Amino acid sequence: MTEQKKSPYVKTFSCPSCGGSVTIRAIGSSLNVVCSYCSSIIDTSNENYIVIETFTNKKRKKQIIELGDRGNLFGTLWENIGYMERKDQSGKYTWSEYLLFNPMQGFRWLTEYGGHWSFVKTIKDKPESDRVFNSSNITYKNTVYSLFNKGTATISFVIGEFYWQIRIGEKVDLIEFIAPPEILSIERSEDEVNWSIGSYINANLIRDAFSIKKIMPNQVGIAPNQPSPYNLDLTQKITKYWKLFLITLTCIQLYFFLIPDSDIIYSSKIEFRSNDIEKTKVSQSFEVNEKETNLRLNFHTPLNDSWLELQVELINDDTGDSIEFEEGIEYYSGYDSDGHWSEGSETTEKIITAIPKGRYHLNIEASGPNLLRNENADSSIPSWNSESPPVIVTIEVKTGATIWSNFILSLILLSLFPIVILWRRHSFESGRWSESDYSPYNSSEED
Amino acid sequence: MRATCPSCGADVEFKSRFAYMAVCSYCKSIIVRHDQNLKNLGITSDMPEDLSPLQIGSLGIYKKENFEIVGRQKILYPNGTWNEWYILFKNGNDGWLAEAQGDYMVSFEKRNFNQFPKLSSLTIGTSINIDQILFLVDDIKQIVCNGSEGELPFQAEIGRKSTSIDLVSSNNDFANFDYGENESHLFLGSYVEFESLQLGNLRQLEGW
Repeated sequence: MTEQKKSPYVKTFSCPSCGGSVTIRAIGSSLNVVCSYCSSIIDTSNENYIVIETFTNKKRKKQIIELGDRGNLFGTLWENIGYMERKDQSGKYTWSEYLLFNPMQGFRWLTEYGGHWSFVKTIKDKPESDRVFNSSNITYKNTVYSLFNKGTATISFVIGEFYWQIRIGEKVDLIEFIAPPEILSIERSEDEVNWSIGSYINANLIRDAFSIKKIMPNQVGIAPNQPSPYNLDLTQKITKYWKLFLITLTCIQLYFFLIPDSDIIYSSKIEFRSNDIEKTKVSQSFEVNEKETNLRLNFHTPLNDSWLELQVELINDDTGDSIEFEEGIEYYSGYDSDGHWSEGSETTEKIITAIPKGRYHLNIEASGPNLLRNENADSSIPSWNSESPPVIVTIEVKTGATIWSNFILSLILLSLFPIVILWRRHSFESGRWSESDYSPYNSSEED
Repeated sequence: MRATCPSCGADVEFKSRFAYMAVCSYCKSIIVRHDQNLKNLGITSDMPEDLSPLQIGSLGIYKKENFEIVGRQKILYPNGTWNEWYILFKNGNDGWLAEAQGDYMVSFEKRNFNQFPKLSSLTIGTSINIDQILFLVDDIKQIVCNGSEGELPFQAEIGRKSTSIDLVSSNNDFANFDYGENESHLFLGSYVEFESLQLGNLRQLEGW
């Protein structure tokens, strides 16, 4: 940005106190000017230039924008005509305020604390003013502002010209409400109540606008009205879509769960007799027609206080690829003082995921107390005899089984990003409010 | 109405039918119009310098009505100054455009109003009903006319002192009581944005 020319409308006179050259820029609007040499406050409401007060300027922060510097902000040319520093009731915090002037637009302020800048305008259409001193939030132009700070502001350093009777040590009650990027400030003195609204402004914007060559103040911490990079709008959007995805995903999952694709592609009964022990029974072949699917293998056998152990192998007829697994079935029941009881089930289900298209068969071995294990079987296990009926296992193979693990994995992956964003937003906000006595994020750090 | 300055003979124009006085732009004589009987009230001093972008002859629009600035009085009070520009609408009505540090307000005098409350009864926060609107006293200050130019609807010479009382309603309506030594005025108005006035023929401020 090109350097702005200085205003041709300046008035210069000699300070009645020290004789130094004093400049007035906002002619007709300035009420007084502070001599930069001797810190005398000179009345500029008429051309008599009477010294109102002389004071000693205390040690001060670094003034970044000089008097007379011009910059274009938000489409309007502004000239810095006054600079002051104010401190809070504890004296711990001192901030800078630059008074800007434009003949058409009047006055604005640039405030700087900890490298954070706000562009401030006084407002005439004040919100309901009486309640404000006891409220934790107020509404202005349909925006709700939250109480951030209550204290005082005292002028500790001043230079240049001002549109009111300024004096060093001038103290006002200060109440600040925030709705980032805006800050609503109420200053109350004995005579009047002034409202202003400040918008957070990027420091680089000020540096470029005023062609500042000096090093800009370091940014420290989070300003009360600094907009969150994880702003409410973004996080609300993320939360909204997140919920939408969760609901959709859950609906899809529930649909497949509640209306399972009970497409039975194979079903048969296999008999195990005593002489079948440790013998592999081979099922007929069946087709898996879908490109890649999940199989549900259902095994059912009638049991009475017994168990059956199955060793199953799913074999692809063409490739010979196999998947082996074991399934146990056990079922016990009886009567006791509480009535009928049962434990286990006569049915078991095994889900095998991602089965490619092809022809398959099952190899099954069975063992259990109803089947003779070996010649030296434990006498407590009833041994198989030829009169006992055979063990019949009903097998059903279905496609399209509902897989919960994928669903849960999707949930976690889908939630990762929103959770990180929400967490970051939360830590940004608690950082913002850590300087406030009215934090909604009651941090335990202060205790 | 066109007339001749009784002091210097220059042309003096009274554009507003409500104009009571005009300042001759050549000799600074204050000319009072006692209908057509022009009377010279003496010479006023130069207008205090300022950087107002407005001037006599500036044109603008308020609520779709075209107006022209025909006069001004500069007001001084302990905490600052502002300009009261006297504006004349094309339809013959008159009003005021107050200009203070970048804030602009258009107001109209409520003529034939005679229920002025007692000045001593007014303090900040006092509520007053005007035209069924509840106003609260917002500010009371002593003001003095610090300069006048062009035509004006009442005798507003330098040094005219009055007590100015600002009132606001919850709808941001604005009212102002002006208690002068001899007469009182009531003005009703509202704040306006500079851009909304679509001002033309502004004063050229070099460098701005």
